[in-house]
Amino acid sequence: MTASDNLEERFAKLRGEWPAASLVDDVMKRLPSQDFEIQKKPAFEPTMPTRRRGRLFAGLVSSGLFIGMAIAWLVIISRPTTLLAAIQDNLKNAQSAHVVITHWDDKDVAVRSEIWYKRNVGVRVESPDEVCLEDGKTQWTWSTKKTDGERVILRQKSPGFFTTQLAQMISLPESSPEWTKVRSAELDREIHGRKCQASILTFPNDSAALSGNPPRPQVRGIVLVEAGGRIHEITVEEQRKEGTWRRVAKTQIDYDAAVPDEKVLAKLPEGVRVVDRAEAFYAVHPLEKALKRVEIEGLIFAVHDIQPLENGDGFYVVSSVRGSEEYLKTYPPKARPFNPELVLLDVAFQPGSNMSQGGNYFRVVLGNAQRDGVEYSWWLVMPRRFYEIKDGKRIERNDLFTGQGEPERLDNQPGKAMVPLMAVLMNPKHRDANGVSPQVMKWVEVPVPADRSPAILLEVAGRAKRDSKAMSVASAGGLIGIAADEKGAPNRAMTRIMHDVSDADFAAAIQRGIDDMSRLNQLGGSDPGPFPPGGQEK
Amino acid sequence: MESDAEIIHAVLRGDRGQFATLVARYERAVWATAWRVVKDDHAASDAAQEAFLEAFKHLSDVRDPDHFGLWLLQIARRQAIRLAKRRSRDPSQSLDDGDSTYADDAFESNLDKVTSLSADAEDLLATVAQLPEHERIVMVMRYLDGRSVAEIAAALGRPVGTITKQISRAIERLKFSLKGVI
Repeated sequence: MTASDNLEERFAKLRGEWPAASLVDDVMKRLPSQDFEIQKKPAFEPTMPTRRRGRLFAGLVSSGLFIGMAIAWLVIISRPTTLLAAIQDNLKNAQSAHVVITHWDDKDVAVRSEIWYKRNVGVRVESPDEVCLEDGKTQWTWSTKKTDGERVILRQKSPGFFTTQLAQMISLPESSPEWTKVRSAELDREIHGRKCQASILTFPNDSAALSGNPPRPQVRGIVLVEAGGRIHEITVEEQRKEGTWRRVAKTQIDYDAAVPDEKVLAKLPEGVRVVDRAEAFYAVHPLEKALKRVEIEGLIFAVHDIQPLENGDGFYVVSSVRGSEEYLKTYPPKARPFNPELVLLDVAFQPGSNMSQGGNYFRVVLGNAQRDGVEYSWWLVMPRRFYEIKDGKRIERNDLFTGQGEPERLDNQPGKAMVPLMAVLMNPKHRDANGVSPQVMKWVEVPVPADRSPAILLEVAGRAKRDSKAMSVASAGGLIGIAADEKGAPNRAMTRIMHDVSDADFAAAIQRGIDDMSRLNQLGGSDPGPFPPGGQEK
Repeated sequence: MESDAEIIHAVLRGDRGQFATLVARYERAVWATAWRVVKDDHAASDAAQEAFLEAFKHLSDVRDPDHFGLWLLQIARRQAIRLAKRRSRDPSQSLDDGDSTYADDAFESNLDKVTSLSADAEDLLATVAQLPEHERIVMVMRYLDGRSVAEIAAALGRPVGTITKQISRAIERLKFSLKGVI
């Protein structure tokens, strides 16, 4: 018996004796209530370098998402519960409201956004570069930036975000004993003609210690509340290293403010083309024009574009996944607000990062886009080329193909390609006892159009980028790759790539992912091989 | 299998139910981490629960979601130390909340072990719990959860080869630590 066998036996024994019951149910029951807002920073982006965060912030401001974030701040900063309950009730009961949110950057440059709300009429959000208007049925968004190009208004069915979820946006988190609230009478003042009392809430700052990340500056909120409990102003401040405080954001709420109907009624700029977001999204790769459609366990997969890569390096693929009518009836997806302009339906997602595709292929992801429970993905499927180094020479090892459920070649037949379609089912009913969502996967044969001759990476990267950009007006998602300054090869993290990237830079970001995956093809040396000793795969 | 990054993304976008997947994925590694400090099955479960709740509240602090597991185990260790301090029968035994391994070791010596594990299983658990965090995670997923290397790679957002190397190194470490036993 080898040491590894013995170790496996001991692990099996430990597994059998495992003294703790599953924590899943207990933890899920104890999660803060649905009203709890995770302490959100701007939209989560995997491993986003600092300078891109700046660009993201600018994008958020222009998209109106900043408004949501700012109000999320309002939620966070205005604990304890009694104050929040007052805000929620006051806004629910208000006939109208005017909210002004100002954010100051590191150089104390202010960015101001405003919200006008009038019950049963509509909502208007004005951020520096964009106006978003919603009347309860339809939402319109247009840029206010000066442009020499064509001006467009983006239109879509109202996601109901403001009209139905304004109150939810300021929902109540659980009260937390960690918050420190100090009454600060010296800061009392009159706002909107009403006397307000000031308190300072101090944000607990132990998350940095918990996360192991460098500590963030201490943050505090100065909250001004009128006698009836309505919060009129919240100023968020951040402590400088020398101990003084600098303002970061201010939210001012004027309840029952005079909001003229014309401010929130849909009065659109003239001479501007109206683009329906949903139509724009589906027009790029309509289902009815797909090269291949196949239903797998209730999911409809479609391959919309496919092109061989030069040197037999695999194929570029554009595919989508959505639920069949019957599937959606059986497993109705949950609506999930994504930002003020988009509500997502979680049905199924295709792989969102580079991965080994079985034993003999790689999948390299270029981007994705999702809307209305439909998800598109741009990706490459590439054969692995195993090799070993002997006496300083590289020796190809193409004899390692296992063939277990995988095609021996992607281009088995002329004019056709084998591609692996796969997706994770997102409906909670599919989860197993451990809470794990299952995935479906199938290799399918797809006809390759005659005009799709072998392409270099630059060409398909550019096409994916243009597709993604066209669909981004109406969807979540975007381009993915490995940024040039990402360290840690060959395990570099993938990041979102902005649409203003050049084709060459985007292709380079994809190539870095291919390079990282390809390093796994070397056999021997310090790499113990494709499978570890022991375990169930023995 | 969804990666940690995808799940975290989903949770932050509002799908709280997805957090169950993270709990299921890491519960044994978290429990083992807490157990190493408190050496008490029930206390380890308590600390593990607190660690998950703390992680949920601070999920947006995860700068690199591919390192979620490491971050979570750090929280678990800290929660276990806090719990252990509260349960300490000797308040004069000061424990630093910093990263000093000495703090754990000093505290451990002050505890009665309360476990239903056999001596052999306990030895192995103690050795696994002392592995570097990234190796502890992959070993628990591989040998206690029975996940394939490909599944672990997908979950952690790492190439299969990296997981393979980590497992191989961890096995070598375990063999060395358990020398004379195996």
